[in-house]
Order: sequence, then structure tokens, then C-alpha cells
Amino acid sequence: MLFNSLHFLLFFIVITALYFSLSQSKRWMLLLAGSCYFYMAFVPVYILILGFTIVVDYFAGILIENSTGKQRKLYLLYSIVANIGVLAVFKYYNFFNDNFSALMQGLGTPFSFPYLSILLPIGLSFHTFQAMSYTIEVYRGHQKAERHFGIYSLYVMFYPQLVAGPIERPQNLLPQFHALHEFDYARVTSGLRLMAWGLFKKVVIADRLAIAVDTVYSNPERYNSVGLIIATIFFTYQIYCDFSGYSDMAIGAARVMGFRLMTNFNNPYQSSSIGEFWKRWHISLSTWFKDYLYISLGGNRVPVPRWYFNLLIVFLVSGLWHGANWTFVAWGAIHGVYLIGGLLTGGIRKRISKILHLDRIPLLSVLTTFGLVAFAWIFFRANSMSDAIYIATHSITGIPGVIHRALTHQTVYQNLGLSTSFMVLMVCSIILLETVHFFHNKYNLAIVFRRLPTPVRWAFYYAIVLAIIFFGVFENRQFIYFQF
Amino acid sequence: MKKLLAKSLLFLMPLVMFFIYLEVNLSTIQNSYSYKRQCFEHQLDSIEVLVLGSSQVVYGINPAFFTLHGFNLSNVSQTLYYDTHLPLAYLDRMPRLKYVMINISYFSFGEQLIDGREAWRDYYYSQYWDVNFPEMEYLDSKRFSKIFLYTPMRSLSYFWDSFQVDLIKNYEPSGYSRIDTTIHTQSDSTGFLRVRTHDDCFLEKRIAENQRDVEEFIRVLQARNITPVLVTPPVCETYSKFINHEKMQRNYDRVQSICSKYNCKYFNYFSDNRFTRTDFCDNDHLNFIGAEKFSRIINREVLVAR
Repeated sequence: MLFNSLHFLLFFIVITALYFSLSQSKRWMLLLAGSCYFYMAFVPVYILILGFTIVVDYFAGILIENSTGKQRKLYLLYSIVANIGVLAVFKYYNFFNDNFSALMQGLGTPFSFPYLSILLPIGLSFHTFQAMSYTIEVYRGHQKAERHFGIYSLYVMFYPQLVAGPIERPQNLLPQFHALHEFDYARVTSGLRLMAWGLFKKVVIADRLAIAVDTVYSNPERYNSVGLIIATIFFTYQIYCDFSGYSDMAIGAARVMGFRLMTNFNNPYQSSSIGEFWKRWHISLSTWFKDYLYISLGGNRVPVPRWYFNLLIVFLVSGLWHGANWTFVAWGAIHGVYLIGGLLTGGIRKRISKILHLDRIPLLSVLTTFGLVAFAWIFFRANSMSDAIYIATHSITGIPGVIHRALTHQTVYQNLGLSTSFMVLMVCSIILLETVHFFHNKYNLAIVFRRLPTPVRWAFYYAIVLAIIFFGVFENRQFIYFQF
Repeated sequence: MKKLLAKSLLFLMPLVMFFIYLEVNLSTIQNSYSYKRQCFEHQLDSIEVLVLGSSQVVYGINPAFFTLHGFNLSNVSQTLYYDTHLPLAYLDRMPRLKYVMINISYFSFGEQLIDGREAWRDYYYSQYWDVNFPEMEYLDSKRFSKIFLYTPMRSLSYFWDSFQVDLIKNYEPSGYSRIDTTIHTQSDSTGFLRVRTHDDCFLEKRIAENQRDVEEFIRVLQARNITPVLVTPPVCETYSKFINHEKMQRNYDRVQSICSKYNCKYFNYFSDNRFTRTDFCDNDHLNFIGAEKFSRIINREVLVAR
């Protein structure tokens, strides 16, 4: 069931209405049943995989808490192996098998394991990571093992964040299932507002940009560097609006019922460095990797070369987490290199920018970061490594030709097969998005909104609703992050 | 809770009224689906030949050139599923029906709308013909709303035009749609792309179900003493030269096996040299000249000869 579907609209209304009409003792049952229905609307049988990880981690949590010494570590290991095992089989088996058989072919001894013809369960990496964070936190003593099997199942399956996060921590989410959430008009409307904004970002901006992006990325060789750059910038906004739109809807839907989910995005494209970008982009995943992988590897409390190695490992794993394809690994590696390069050249860059007075133009570092991030997205979006390399090289090497065309008064703009009104709508949407972000940074828009006279506020609501309906794309486009 | 409900109702009321206004007005617009159904139901009593198929038939067979009363029930991208399901509910009300022509194109056996870019057409059949493809999503807004069926953006443009739009230009009451162009744009490159598009929408997994539908339909027709005829329409040489001949042969074998099983006739005009470039408006569609020629041939060789 997609958030941008009529099915979800009806589901949400029914579940929320029932939620507030039931007593606290029965609410978890409703949410669990609703979450099962929500998940089974994709591929019903995959609920068994989810059930497997829930059972394993539920008992692992209790066993870890009840044991001491090496035994605790062993139970944690069992749990992690089970979770990673599920990921390995369903997400990475064919990828590793393909690479293994290519290697064997190269060595002159062709061999491969049988191909596993299965569909990747939706959001597998998200709920697996959330389940793992539970056993790790119990092991570390930061969280008590949950004895209520239904509540624990709900922790893994809570429908708003089941398939694409935010990846919650047990300390934040588990206690909320035990707490009573009264109906609060201001909170409910704030949740609904956030959902509407998320839906706007998804169907009006992301899905419309996707039309242009898909056109170019499916046949990159047909486009010049201007076309490739436009498509890449569009994808940069598409993925942000797609994923942050989903997060907004998830956080909003949970907020309506009184649950506080963690913030997942904080205007990432206004970051002035790659380090800052990762503090603002997919926060629930980057903090997961920081807390459970980076720190476990020693973090920055190790010799400098080892620190850099740790950073690179975290980003390579992060790339692989996103998908079983070398393009994702390359994307992770590029970000790792950015970060390490940034650390190595920090001093020199500071001195140069002081000499040239570049530090007086803060927008420059924001634009540079945006450019670097957009470049890395090429590898994330491209259908293959060869396509990615083609787009990356031709985006850059074609620029002199474009400049020459511009200087000789020839057309540089390449039609992406889209109408002018489409392009105008897209550019206006991006400008609107950045304007909202700009004002939200300066003034808290939620507070400003509440203070507006009702007719003005409602005019905004009508504008958003009508824009969603009339300018939105409703072709059941999945959210990009569902595949991860 | 009451406050939220009251405010929501107040907020939604103008929107709901606007959408009802749009829905009512959009439902008055005639499109090829509503128009064909209306014309078809109007002529049920007298139809003797029913022609089914996709765009090659829509533009390629004009029942006006038949000596029997014909109706062209084909539509753009209409698949065998709809060819075999649309007439079922009407057979009892067609006392004079003698022939049903089932179109078998290069891609027919491997195609279902839901697999491709024209999946939206499934919802037109759902709304205007009450025929639902089983794999269609039940809770899709396109199934219930004209705004989403036409797409909200297009609905808005129809609203700006005061709903004065003509979506059935060139359609005749016989179901035939005339293409006036005699400018020949068919080239090898467009032919190659056209065949590639058709190859892309041909899925092996769909063959068995399409063959089953055709066979079931033939059984139903024969039980009512109606003669089913299988016909492959002509295409331009700029199309035929790019086809996968192995696939074409398998299609042919499949049709032959159906024909021998049910003792029915197959007429293959795919590479018929009576059709020249001037008969086509593009690589695989006849223009009005070609349509007249093809309809007369059908009348002579398929209908009168029998």
C-alpha cells in the first residue's frame, strides 16, 4: 500500500478513527493488525520473513537481558547473524553470486550457484536495521527487553515507518506504545499538515521530476551535457522530495495518533560541507551507522589512517545497504572519499578561502556541496556503472562544447522531450520548495501558520490540496526508498 | 474530535462541490469508449458482422463497405482480452449476428494493457463498459472518478474549455475512424521503432491466457451459430521487414492450431502485396484509401465468399 494511493487514504481514515475510539489496552492490537494489513498489501507472503525476524529478536532481547558475560554476546551474535542472514539471502545473494561467477569465469573455471528468483521484500533493510538496533541497545544495557510480544512486534511493524523509516531506536519508540495518547486537536492538525506537505513533495515535485529524469537516464547517450546536468539536478530534487516526502507523511501519520518519530531530514541541500550534509540527510540511517558501526570500529579514537579507513568502510556499507549493485557501492565510496578528502584538505581550503575572501560568500560552500552531492547521485540513479561513468564524464567534458555554442549564439538548451509548461512547473516547484525551506529556517513556519487568520491559512490549505490533485502524478509510483 | 470533524466538513465542502461539478460535467464528454458503446447498443438488433481489434482495425476496416450490416467495435490498443469480453454480455441481444472478426496482429497474443504504458485504458473499459481486467487494482481512483480517469490536469483543462472538447473527431456511427492523411511518413527508422515497441509489449507469459480467451470466445460464438473468423490486417513493408520472423511463425502456428481445433477460417493479409505505401498513413495503419480497399477485400473474400 503506497502513501500516495486512495487505498492508503481510506486505510488511514479507518485506522485513525478506530484508534481514538478504542481503549488504550486494545490500541496496540488495532495498530498491529493494521500494520500487518498495510505490509501484506504489497506481497502477503513476505510477512513470514518479518515474522521470523520478530520472533528471533524478541527472544534474543529477553535472553540477552537474562544472561551475563560471553553468553550475552553470543545471543546478540545469533540475532545479528539471523538479521544479516535474511538480508544476505533476499537482498544480496544474487549480487554476490553474479560477481562470484564473473570472477570464476575470469579465472577460467566457470561456476555459479543457482540463481534465486525472488522479489526483494519491501523495506527489508529498514525493518531489519530497526530490529537490530533493539537487540544491540538491550545488549548495551540502554534498553530493557520488551516482554509484551505484541508491543515488540508493533515496534518492528508500526505501519507509518515500516517500509521506509525513519529507522527508530527502541528508547524512543517502545515506551510510546505503552503511553496513552489523547486526542489533541492541535497535534492532529499539525500531523495532517505535515502529511499534506509530504504528499505535495512526492506527487507534485518528485513524481513529475521523475518523468524527465527517467527519460534521460534510460537513454543518456541521446543527450548533451546540458540535458544530462538538468536531469541530474532534477534527480537531486526528486530523491529528496521522494524520500523526505515519505518521511514527512510517516512522521505526520504517527503524530496524528500521538507518536513522535525522529526527524529524518533537515534541509540537507543547504549544507555547507559533506560532513554537514550527512548530519541533515537520512538522519535515522546515518546515526544508525554512527552508533552501531562507526563507533564499533573505533570511530575517531584511533590512529588517523585507521580513522579514515573507518569512514570509508561506513560509507561503503551504507552504499551497499541502499542496493545490491556496484552503482550504490560507488555512490557510498564517492561520499567516503569526499569526507576523507575534506578532512585532508581542510586546512589548505581554509587558508585559500581566507586569502581570496571566499569565506565572505557562504553561499559558495553551499553550492559546492550541492554540486558534489548531485555528482554522486549520478551513480545512485544510473542503471549501470557504464551509464554512470558515461553521464558523469559527459556532463563535465561536454561543458566546453556548450560554452562554445553559447558564445557562438547557438542553442545550448536541449529539449528533454517535455513541454515548456512542464519545465516551468518543475522549476517553479523547486523554487517553491527552496523558498519554504528558507523561511522555515528563519521563522518556524508551524508557529507562523498557527498565527495566520483562518481564511489565509485555509487559502494555503486549498492551494496545497488543489496542487496535489491537479498537478500531482497519480500512477502508483513507488517511493524510491521502498526498494532498500 | 468533534471540532476536527466539523472543521474538516466545512473545509471539504467547497472542494467536494467543485469535484462533483467536475465529475458531472466530465461524464457528459463523449470519448471513443462511451461513443462506441452508445452506437453499438443502438444497432444491436441489426448488426450482422462484428469487427474486433486494435488501432489497425479502428482505422483499417470501414463496415460501410460491407454488404452486410457491420459494426467496428475495435479500439486503440484493444487487446484480445477486451475483444473477447466486450461482446459477451450482448450476444443474446444480437439476433442477426452472423460473423465475428477477431483481429490477430503481430503482437496480439503477448499483450495485456496492464503490463505497459497504456494500462490507463483498462480503467476506461471498467468505467464505460463495466469490464474489469482481473489484475486491475480495485482501489484505484481511476476506477471510480472521471477526474482521475482523464487525469486531473487534463480535467482542469477541459474545465477551462467549459467541457467543450471533441474526443471523437473522425469516429463514425459504424465504429470506424477515418484517417484522412495521405502524407506518407512511414520510413525504415519509424518502422524499426514501431516493431520494437510492439516487441516490448509482447510478453510470453500472456500467450496462454490470450489463447484461452480466444478459444473460449470461439466456443461461445459457435454454440450460437455465429461464425468466428480470424484476420491479420496488412502492414507496410517498412514494418514487416523488421519483425521477428520466428515469433511471427509461432503466431501463425498458434492460429492454425486454433482454426483446425474449432474448424474456423484464418485470413492473413499481413504482407499482402495488394497494399502499397499510398494505402498507409504510417508503418502499420491504413489511411481512408487503404481502409476502403481492405474493407472491400474483407467483404469479398471473408463475408460474401462464405
